[in-house]
Amino acid sequence: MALNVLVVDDSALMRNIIIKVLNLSDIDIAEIFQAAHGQDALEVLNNNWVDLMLLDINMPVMSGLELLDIVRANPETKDLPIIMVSSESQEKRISAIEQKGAGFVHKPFTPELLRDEIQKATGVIHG
Amino acid sequence: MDSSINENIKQIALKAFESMCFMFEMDPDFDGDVAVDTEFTDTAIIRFDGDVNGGMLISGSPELRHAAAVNMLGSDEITDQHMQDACFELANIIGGNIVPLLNQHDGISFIQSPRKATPVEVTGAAFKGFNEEKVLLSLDEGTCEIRVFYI
Repeated sequence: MALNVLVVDDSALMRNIIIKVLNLSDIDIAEIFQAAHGQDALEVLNNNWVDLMLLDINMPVMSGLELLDIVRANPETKDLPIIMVSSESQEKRISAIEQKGAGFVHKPFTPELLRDEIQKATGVIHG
Repeated sequence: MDSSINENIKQIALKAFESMCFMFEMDPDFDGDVAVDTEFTDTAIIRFDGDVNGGMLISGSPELRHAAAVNMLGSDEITDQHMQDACFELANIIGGNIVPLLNQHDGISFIQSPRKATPVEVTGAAFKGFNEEKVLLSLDEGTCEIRVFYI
């Protein structure tokens, strides 16, 4: 199953790194969408089918945590696999994220770690 | 200066440079001539508040800033914006990992997005009375100074 992936990060450089890792992995990717903040991401979600969202936390306009709450509250997107990709290291905040049903990849990350977390979140076996 | 926090900051920064930029610390036992460039022209800052208040400044030598952008993007066509973005992202990653070390009451601190430091922040005048940790990294593709102010 080829995945439509939405990468949400206010850093264009970090979006590039994540996309590069996705393209170099053995994950079957159909299309990669990008958004610079939560509001942008909602537009993408409203107009496209997305199988997986990789989401930064600290962003202007709408943070990753705000977007996570909105997505989980919407019956159409409540089960969307989401992985937070962040340098956040405070256990209380990470625990709160995981309780909302999102995976977590800690920056700095290795390509293998991101791939494994995607496999866990989507249930799709690659390679 | 707290030697334990200082060493932790150094290890966190080295891990970030290794993982994101494929840069490694120069061998401390190397006794040859190494040009250590400490002429930093650009400094990124992140501020944090909550359980701990303060900021982290990161300055890289021109060689390091260029190499960081090249290695993070996987391209030789690098602009000044790319170099600034690379420093911002490194500041974000290193800062996000440092703040839990500084939390003093098992509470939570919030990190503001990185931006270019103002002169008053670069001189440290904006953090008068704060504790300060200073780490100078000598990496294989340049040098980097990290200063953390916290209270």
